[in-house]
Parts: sequence; C-alpha cells; structure tokens
Amino acid sequence: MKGAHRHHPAYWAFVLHRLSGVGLALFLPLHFLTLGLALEGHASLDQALAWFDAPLVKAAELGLVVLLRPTCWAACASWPSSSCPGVTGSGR
Amino acid sequence: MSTRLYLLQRMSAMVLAPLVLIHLAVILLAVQDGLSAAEILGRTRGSLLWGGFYGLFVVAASVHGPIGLRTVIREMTPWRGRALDLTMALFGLLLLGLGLRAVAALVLP
Repeated sequence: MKGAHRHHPAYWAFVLHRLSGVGLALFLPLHFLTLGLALEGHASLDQALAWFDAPLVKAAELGLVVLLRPTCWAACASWPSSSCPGVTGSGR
Repeated sequence: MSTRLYLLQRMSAMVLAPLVLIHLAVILLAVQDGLSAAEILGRTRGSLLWGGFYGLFVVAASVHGPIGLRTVIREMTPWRGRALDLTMALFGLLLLGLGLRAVAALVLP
C-alpha cells in the first residue's frame, strides 16, 4: 500500500530526527556567533540576549529543544550499554 | 555513508549526548534568575572546566553536524560527490572556528 510507511512510528522518528538535525545545523553557527560577541564586551552580548528574549525567538528555541529529543534518543542508542529509557539495540 | 564516516558520526553522538543533556540542564538552572552577560561570564570566565566542557562540545558538534547534514542532503536531494563532501568539510571547519572563538570569548579572562 502506497504511503503505508507513514503510519509507522519509526517513520515519524526518522522525520523528526532529520528536522531536528537540520534545525540544529542552522542554529549552531548563529549560537556560536552570539556567544562570540562576549569578545566585544558585556553590552554586545546583553543586546543579543535581549533579542533572544523575544517571544517568537523563544518559541523557536523551545521547538528546537523539543525536536532535539529524537536526536538525543538516537545518540543514546549509540552507547553500547544504553541506559536510556525505551532504547534498545545498536542504534542503527 | 562510508564506514569511517559512520563510526565518526556514532562516536561523536556518544560524546554529544551527555554534553547536550548537561548543557540543557545548566540553561534551565541559569535562566531562572534571568539570562545576562554578567551571569554567563561570571560562571565561565577563567574556568578550565567549562572551557574543556564546551571545547569538547564544539569539536564533537563540528564532526557530527556536517556528517549528519551530508546524509540528509543525500537522502533528500540529488546532490552527491566531491562538491558536497567539500562543502560539508568547510561547514565543519566553520562550526569549529566559530565554536572555538565562542569558547574563547566565554572562558578567557
């Protein structure tokens, strides 16, 4: 049946893992650039942190943290003797 | 994905998993009193521990991110070959450079 795979939880775990991965790849350079502002002094970093306090940016960050869960779950599965709840197998 | 990239991806994931969890826990604790440059730098400046922690974080993320992004691009687009590999390698170097600069900004007195 065409599209039947979309009803499987593993498919959605796969999609969320990809979304969170791409989201983090876009977020990390911006995050590093922001923290690097500390080289210019407290004022520059405070200005950037105020921008990150905006509701829309906070919502995006929260979304990223929520999306990070499947990525962390997959990473936990990499551990040979995983102690993550519900994680079994080699992580493949 | 080649075996070498697969192993690098897995090993960097093993390093990143606990670091991300600790990082998120620190953020949750830190933002309770409001996030400010003084609060962040007061915790990190001159700290070898935080320097090592975030230095390791940056190195692992610089390995893990480009390999993962390469996989997603290969799955979702027809882009393949040396141009993709080179672009991802440059992205990894960009992450490493920006990340180590950020660590230096936070840790160096």
